[in-house]
Formats: sequence, C-alpha cells, structure tokens
Amino acid sequence: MIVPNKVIRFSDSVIGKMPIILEYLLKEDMTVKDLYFITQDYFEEIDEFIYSLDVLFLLGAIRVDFDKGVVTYVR
Amino acid sequence: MLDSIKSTIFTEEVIDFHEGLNVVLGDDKGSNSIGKSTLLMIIDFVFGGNTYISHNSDVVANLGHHELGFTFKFETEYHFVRGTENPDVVYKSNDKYEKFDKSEMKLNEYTKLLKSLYKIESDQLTFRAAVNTYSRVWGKENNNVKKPLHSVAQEKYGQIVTNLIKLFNKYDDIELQDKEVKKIEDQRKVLNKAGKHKLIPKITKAKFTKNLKEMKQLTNEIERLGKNAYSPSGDISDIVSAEMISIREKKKKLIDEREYFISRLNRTTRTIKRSASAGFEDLLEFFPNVNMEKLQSIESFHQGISSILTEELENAKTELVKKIAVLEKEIDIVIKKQEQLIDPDEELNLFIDSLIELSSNLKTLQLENQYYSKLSGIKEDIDIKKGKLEELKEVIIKEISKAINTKLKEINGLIYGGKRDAPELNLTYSKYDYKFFDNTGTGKAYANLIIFDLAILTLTKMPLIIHDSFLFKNIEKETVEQIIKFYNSLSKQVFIAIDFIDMYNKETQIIIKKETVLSLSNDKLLTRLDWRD
Repeated sequence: MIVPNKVIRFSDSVIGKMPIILEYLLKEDMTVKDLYFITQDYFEEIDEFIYSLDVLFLLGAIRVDFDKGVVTYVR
Repeated sequence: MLDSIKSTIFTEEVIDFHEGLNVVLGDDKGSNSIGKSTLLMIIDFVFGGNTYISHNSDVVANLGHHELGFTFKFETEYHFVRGTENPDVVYKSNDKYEKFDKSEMKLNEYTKLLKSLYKIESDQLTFRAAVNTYSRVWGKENNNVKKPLHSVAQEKYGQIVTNLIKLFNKYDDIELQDKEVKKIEDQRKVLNKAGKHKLIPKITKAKFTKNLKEMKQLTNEIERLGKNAYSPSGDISDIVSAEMISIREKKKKLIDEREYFISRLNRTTRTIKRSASAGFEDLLEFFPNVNMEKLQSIESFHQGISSILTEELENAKTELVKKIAVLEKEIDIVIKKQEQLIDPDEELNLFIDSLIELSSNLKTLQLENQYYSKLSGIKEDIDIKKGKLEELKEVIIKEISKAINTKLKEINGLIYGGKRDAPELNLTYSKYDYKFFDNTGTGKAYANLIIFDLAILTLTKMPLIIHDSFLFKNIEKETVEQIIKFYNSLSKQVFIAIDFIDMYNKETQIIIKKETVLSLSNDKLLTRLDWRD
C-alpha cells in the first residue's frame, strides 16, 4: 500500500496520495487534526493518512511539532 | 216500554203502565205528600236515575231499605230489581223478581242495556244524558223555564249542546273530525315538546330560509367532491402531488446529508493500525536517497501522530453521531408524511372525511327543516281541520235548530190554536237561549217548557218524558187540556202527575181517567205507611 505494485495502482498507493497533503502544507502549516479532516475523503482508511505522513517524514519533506501537534512543510 | 213496578212499600203492590200517557192522579183537594212525585221519582229511578235516593230519603228513613222490581216490555219482557240499599247495582230477574244467579249489573251496564233496548243510536250518548233532562219531577232541579236543556243548574253549556247534538244522532261526524283534530294537535304538542327538550331540532322561519341557502351550498360542494372521486386530476390529488414533490425533495436532501456524515463517521471510527510491517524499505526503489537512519525513529513518529488523531477523532465521532441522529429524526418525520400522502387509503380517507363532514352538516340542516316543515304542515292541517269542524258544527247546529223551532211552532200552534207566539230556541255550539216573546207569565213559561219537551220527544229517539204536577198548576186550563190531548196522541211513554182534574173539560177528564195508572188521595197514599205528621 505504500508503494504501487501490480495490485495497487499508483494513485491508490501512499506515495500517490502524498502530493495531496503537500498541496495543503505548501500554503500553510496545519495541525495534524485539521490536515486529516481536510484530506480524509482522499484516503480509504485513516492509517493511509498516517503512513503518508510517515513517508513524508522519512523523505524529510515535513516536520512535526508534537507539543503543538502542528505539521510544517520542509523546503 | 216500562210495563210495571212492584214493591212491598206500595199500597197497591204492583203498578202497571201502558203505552203513551200514564197518569198518576191526585185528588180534587190537591192533597200534598200523598206520593205523586215520589212515584214519578221511582219511575225515574227504574230508568236509572239517582235522585230518588238523595231527594226522597224520607221514604227510606220511614220504610227502611226496599227493593223495586220492574218489567220492561219490548219484543220480550225484561225483569229487573234495583234496591235503595245498593242503588249502584241492578239485577236481572224472573217475572216474580227473584234475582237470577250472577245477574248483578253495574248501574251503567244497566242503562247501556236500556239504551240498546230503546234503540238509541248515537254511540256517544248515554241513556241518562238522553232522558235525565226531560224527567221533570219536583226535587230534580231541572225546572228552569229559561234553561230547558239544563238537567242541573250548574251544567256547562258546551256539554248540554253536545248532548243535544248526540240526542239528534248528529254527533258521530263531529266526533270523527274532532278526533282527527285532537290527533294532529297531539302530534303538534309532541313535536313542540320534543323541540323544547332538544330531542329534535326546533328552528324559526328565518333559520329555515338560511338553512335552504346553506343546504344548496353544501350540496354543490358534495357534488364537486363526488366528481373528484372519479377523476384523479381533481383538486385533492393536485394538492397531494404538489406536497409530495416538495417532501420527496426534502427527503433526498436530508438522506444525502446523512450519508455524508455517516461516511465521515465510518472513517473516523476506523482503528488506527500500527506501522509494524508497513514495508517502508520499498521506498528505496522510488526514492534512493531516503534517509534510512530516520527509519529507526519512524515508529515513535507514527505513534505520536496516531495519539494526536485518536483523541481528536473521538470528539469528532461524538459530534457526528449527534448530527446523524438529528438527521435521522428529520428524515423519519418526512418519511411518515410521505407515507401518509402516498398511501392511497389516506387520500381516500381525506376525501371521505370531507364528504362525511359536509354530508352530516347537510343532514343536520335537512333534519331541522324537515321538522320545521312538518310542524308548519301540522299547524296548517289543524287550522284547516278546525275550520272544517266549525263549519260542520254550524251546519249541524243549524239543522237541529231549524227542526226544533219548526216543531216548537207546530206544537205551540196545536196547543194555542195560533193565539200565542211560539217560543224559540237560539242554539250555538257553546250556548243556547230559550226565548219567549209575547208573554212573560208563569203559566206560559211552564207551558213552553212542556212544549219544548214534547218537541224533543217527537223529534228524537228519546223514549220518555216525566212531567210532575207542579208544571201544570200555573198553566191556564184550556192550555192544559190541549197539552193532555197532545200527550194522549203519543205512543212513547209520558208519565205525568196531575190533580184538580174536575176543572178540566169532559174530554180531558175522560182521557186522564182512562190513562190513570194510580189514583192517590189523602186516604189512599202511594206507600203503606203515612209519615206526614
């Protein structure tokens, strides 16, 4: 589900859906909660959303302030 | 006719009677209390009268209770016994006046029997009402010369005139119509009472007219509804469809909204999975420069995000559940409304309800008017019938009046030879007046009373008259002679008491002597005992 394969199409994979999150984060920093509610219609399940954040973190694209719960796009 | 009376109190035990004139003769001294009036009263008693008991109580006081046996002769003989002790009872008996077993009759049964034996036709007239007035014996208080129809002074005019009409056998027609009037008057009373007690509607003329108008409107409305019942494009269906469309739209919107919130709720309720075997290594294939050192801290990052979301999601979930519940309720209401409208029975019910309401209003108004019409119909009917009855009464009264007055003239002419004006009876339905013209003297007045009785006797089925001696005493002798002559020409029984007959002419004396049934004097009293001192 993270990466596309012969079963999972690119658009259905986590990396296929990451740009959606990035699109919102490009404009402004958001709380994890707001980010979820605004994008939840694109994800089949909530863990898909969390995995997307995990991958973006691994790629160094985002930073999360756990005290404030805010996600920031890393340029 | 009365054939004989027998009693142990009589000096002559049996007194026999005959057709026509029967004379109880007094002596030439005019002796008093020798029993003339008493015998006439006894004759009245055997014809069902009661004055003998009250007026002649001295007889009982001196002779004790006694019985009278008497015989009537028609086609056959009838024997009866009536006593003073129990005068309300009359017995049938044999010719020796031995009472038959169980032959006891009430007095009114007896007089009914007499009525049928004498063939008095009028259903309404009692025997006593027919004969009582014309049995004029001293003590009976029916000798008012101005009121010849009164059998007692207090008698009501209406009753007296009615009795006279009955005696002329003209009452049955009146009775028939009178009954009809009473019947519809009863109906009116019943309707009026029922109206008063609100058992039936009672309305005025104004309300009647108003009702007519309302009834027309209601009929039109019902007709319009009736048409709708057969045409689906009628008004009711139109209203129903328009409402249905808007409800359907509302329902769709509400369901969409609910679906949206449900899908959001579904997503928020999903359990957040752990990242254990997510397979992040595969990323190297797409991003070769992934910082794999970070992979060691990915687990704590994942946990951090998860715990932030868990808490928020719980709150969001509660809110969504609430929102959905509200929507569910709204949808329920809309669905119910829709069901009502969609249900064809409901539409029919709506239609029937209106129809019933209109019809019941119409029915109420119709009923009100029906009773009003009925009552006015009855009122009209009563007026018409009463008018007819009055007409009939007038015609009958006129007939009777005319017959009596013609007869009065005829008898007056016979007795006075045209020298004196005849008395005249002025008769209306509720009053009468006996008029004399040229002579206000006592004698003429008593003669007029006798003439009146003779007129009635000859005009009707009335079977007898009884005239006591006091009637003759003031009348001039020629007139008495003519009256005796007239009596003697009759076949119906006439019972008179008379004395001083020596003063009358030979012819009269012969008649009187011939027709005498009992001759009384100071030496020969009616009764065995003399209690005059």
